[in-house]
Formats: sequence, structure tokens, C-alpha cells
Amino acid sequence: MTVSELLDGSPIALGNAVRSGAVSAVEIARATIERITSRDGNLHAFLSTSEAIVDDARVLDERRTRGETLGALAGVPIALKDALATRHAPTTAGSKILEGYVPPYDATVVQRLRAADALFPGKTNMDEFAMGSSTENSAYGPCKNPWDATRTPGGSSGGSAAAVASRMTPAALGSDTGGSIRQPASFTGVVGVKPTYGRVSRYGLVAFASSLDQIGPLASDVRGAARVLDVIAGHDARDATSSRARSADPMTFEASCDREVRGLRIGVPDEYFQGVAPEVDTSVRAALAALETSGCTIERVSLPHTTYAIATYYVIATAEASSNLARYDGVRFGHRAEARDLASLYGKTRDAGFGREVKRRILLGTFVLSAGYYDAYYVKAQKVRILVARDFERTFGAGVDAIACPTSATAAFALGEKTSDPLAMYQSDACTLPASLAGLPAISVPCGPTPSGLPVGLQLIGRRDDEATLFALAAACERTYPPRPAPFGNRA
Amino acid sequence: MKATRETVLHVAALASLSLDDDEVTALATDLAAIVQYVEQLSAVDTEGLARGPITPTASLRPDEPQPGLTHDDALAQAPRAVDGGFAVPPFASALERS
Repeated sequence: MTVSELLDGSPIALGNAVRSGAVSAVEIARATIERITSRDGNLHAFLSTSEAIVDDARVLDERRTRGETLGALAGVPIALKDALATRHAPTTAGSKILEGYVPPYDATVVQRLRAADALFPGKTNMDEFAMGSSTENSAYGPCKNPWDATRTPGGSSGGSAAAVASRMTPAALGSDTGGSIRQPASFTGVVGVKPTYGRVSRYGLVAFASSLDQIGPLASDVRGAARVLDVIAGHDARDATSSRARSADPMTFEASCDREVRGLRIGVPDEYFQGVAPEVDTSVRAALAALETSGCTIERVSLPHTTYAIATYYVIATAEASSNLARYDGVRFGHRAEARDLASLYGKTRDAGFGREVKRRILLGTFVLSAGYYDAYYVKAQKVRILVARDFERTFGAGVDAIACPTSATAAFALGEKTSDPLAMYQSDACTLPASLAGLPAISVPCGPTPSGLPVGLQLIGRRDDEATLFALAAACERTYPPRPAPFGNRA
Repeated sequence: MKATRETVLHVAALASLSLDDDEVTALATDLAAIVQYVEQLSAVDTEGLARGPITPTASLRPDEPQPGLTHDDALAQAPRAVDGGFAVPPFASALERS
């Protein structure tokens, strides 16, 4: 395979080619920089890039020449959402308040990818502090969808999704608090995985809502996403919520892609199809029919508290955000406004440093935690969250192996379409929020496109710690709908 | 409950956010709509439910010293550092006023 074919294909083939010496890591690094240079001008998927990957690649090639066996992601360029701390490289979280911030440490996921010999060509665009569903809330300008540059790539991990869709990199990391990996994966036609809460260490992830945040991979194919998750998953003493649980099956996530799906029971909840665009409905139901042909049983189920997920999420996530973002005070790092006294320093720094959506969420979160409203809003939402989680427990307890539904009710919407209506933007997360509230794993895998060619995602939601079943089903879906690079990237 | 300009000003003060007049007006409109939307939760029967984490209990690591940031690393990103510490403007006057 040529370097270009390797960059268009799976991270697995690329990593194997570098490990075997069929291609040098330096060739991959140089070609990646060329692609970003030629393709990202209009997309704005990257907030910063690093040409140091050529030096890192040269070290990999030298190690291989000396006879060393390279890691599972040898020479695979992986784009990192700019919410992940990278030692000696800027980390802005899409916010002016972190402009110029250079962390003194690497996030655990970055350390693990580095240990697996991955390359890091740059940091990707995102909604400020991951607060958004379109990457239009980035303080550095919006990212565009490689399939149609008048549309959003989704968000908040829109830059990571666009980087993979346009094959600037075959894989990326994102973070998902209420759908921020899955919805952009759906909008751009790539695979996106939100692991079980606790599966991946959050150490070094800029915090948004700590009971919901989870890091996960986006990739050009299912197996590639599985290999990246194999590398980054696992307990980390530096994250107190990091899980020690192993998958019920000791096989790797990558190996689980080959698992037989015949006989698996897939629940299809009516609630997730209400208000879904007809072309998305058609595409998702065709994918379900394909899984049925593969031997799965498709059955209707009901998750009755789904309708309350948006309100529940926006109370809990904003409450946690208002607390997490209290650290941005202009004293220890980040932007600092000029002020004569400490109170003014805090107020002016935060007013100048935060964008409108972040202020909106800090205000809502502070409001629902404030005296007189705490029980009515915050405590109430926590209780409804339990009901949302119990819906899933009841369904899985009845023997359903996975739940299937659209990742998003629509294909990618137009830039600017929802920016003036925060509630309309929040409602675009309706299909992804419930699994986040319940802490469950979920994957978005491409199914058939809309008649106009826009990508559509099938969402698969699994039992806690059972990503393996989701990878098996997603791989089965992918056999019907093979990966398609975005034409925008190919034209560039 | 209706969120007003006064609500926004009160909550902004709690959150250490200085907002200009235009922002207060716009955010009051947004906050009122969002609060009205989340009030649908009041209709859900949650009788007898205890609030609690839905995710597994956090585990703490052993309380043993580990390498951390060096003093220089910790100060390296400070917008203003003086004599090995983070520099802040005077705050005594603000305390006296409060």
C-alpha cells in the first residue's frame, strides 16, 4: 500500500505497516503534515499543529532498525482534542481564558498513546470547554464539516471528527460529556466511542462535568477505534473515578470485533425515534434490518424517562461546570485582566476570558445550586437521573444485549442554524444524553447516508463495561457500510 | 420561578462574573427560557428515591508521597509571579467593604 492509501485506511493497517518496516514512520509523519497543510485551511479542524512529529517518527524508525518491536499504534498519527493536557504543547480547551497555556504534564491517555508509539500531529478544535454541539462555540472560530463546508461537524469534538473524516489523521481522541464524541462522529461519517464511565482515566482532561466526562476514540473504522481504546483504557490511580473493572470478556476490544453477532438481542426504543428526520429514520432502520440479516434479533423496547434526559443533563452538567470552572481566576494560569483589587480581578478575568455559552452554563449551574433552588432543581435532577439509569437496567435485565437508535435526530445541520437558540442546540443532543447520564458505553457507527450524501450514525448502547458487544455489532454494521473518506478532503 | 435581570446579577456575583448591561439582558432572557424548560422535572414522581451516585464509588489511592509538580513548573504559567509566589492585587480593601 502507498503512504496515501495507508492514511486513507485503517489505523490498524497503518500501524502494522510501520511495525513491519513496509513504510517508515517518517514518511507517514511528513505525509500527515502535508495533508493538514493542504486540507485544513477551510476546515479549521486543528487549533495547533506540531512538526516535531517528524523527529518523533525518526526515533521510531531508528528503534525498529535496531530490532526493537514497536507498539500497537506505531507511527499512527492521532489528533488530540484540545481539552487534553499535553506537556510543552498549548492546551486551550477552545477558550480564550486558556490562550497560551502550556501544561507541565501529559494527560494519562497521552502518556499511554505515546507508550504505544503513536504520533501527535496536533490539537483539535472544539466548543469552548466542550460546551456545545457544533464546534461553533470555539473561541478560535468554528470548524466545518468535510462533507459540506456550509454545515457543522457537530460538537464538541468537531475538530477531531473532521480530522478523521477528511483523513488528515486516521484516528483521534475526543471527550464525551453528553454526546460530544458520538454526535460529531455521526455528522462526519466516522466511528466514535464513548466508553463506560470510569473506563478511561480523565487525568489531564480539562474538566467540564466530572460525573459525566469520558475520553474516547474517533477513528476511520471500528477496529481502529477498538485498538485505540485497548491502549488508553485501564485503571489509573490519578483519577479517583477510574474503574478497576475489566470487561466481562478478557479478549481485547480489537479481537471482539470478530465476535459472532448471531443470536444477540437488540432493543430498539420507540422514544428515540420521535422527532427523527425521515431520512435518518430510513437509514437507521435499514441498518437494523442488516443486523437482523446477520442473525440478530430486533425487538421494540421502552425507555420511558428518555424525555426528561435533556432537562436532567442541563441541570447536572451545568452545576458541575459552575464548580469546575471556578478555578479560572487569572492567578495561577491562563488569561488575567488588569484590576485594582482581587474581586475585580476575578470578575473581569472571567468576563473577558469566557464566551457567551460558557457564561450561560455557569449562571445556570450556579442558579440550580443556589440557596432556595438546590432541592427543586439539582436534587430533583439527580433523582430523575436514577430513573433514566433504571430504564436501561430494566431493559438489559430482561436479556437485551444492546440498544440501537439514531445517534442524532438529524444529519449535520447548517452553520449558524442553532446558534441563536440555546434550547434548540441542547435538544440536538436528545439521543446521546441518556447513556451519558447512566454512565453506559455507546458507539456511533456510520450507516447509509442521506439521499444528499450526508453521513448518518447508528448508535449502539451497551451494558456497563460491555464495550465488547458494541464493537462486535459495530463491526457487523461496518461490513454492510464500509468506511468512506469525505470527498471534501479528497478534493483538497 | 421566573429568572429576571436581578436573578442574573445575583447569580453572576456568586459566580464571580462581571457582566455588562447587554450581557445581563441577553442572559436573563436565555436563563428564563432554560429554567422554564427544566421545570418539567417537577412533574416526575421521584417519591422515595434517594439521591446518590449512579456510577461506582470512587476509590482513593494510598496516602503516600508521590512526585508532583516542581515549584518552578507550578509557577511557570502564572500570569504574574513575585518572589516565588503567585501575585495578586490587594484584597484587604475588598474584605473591609464586604
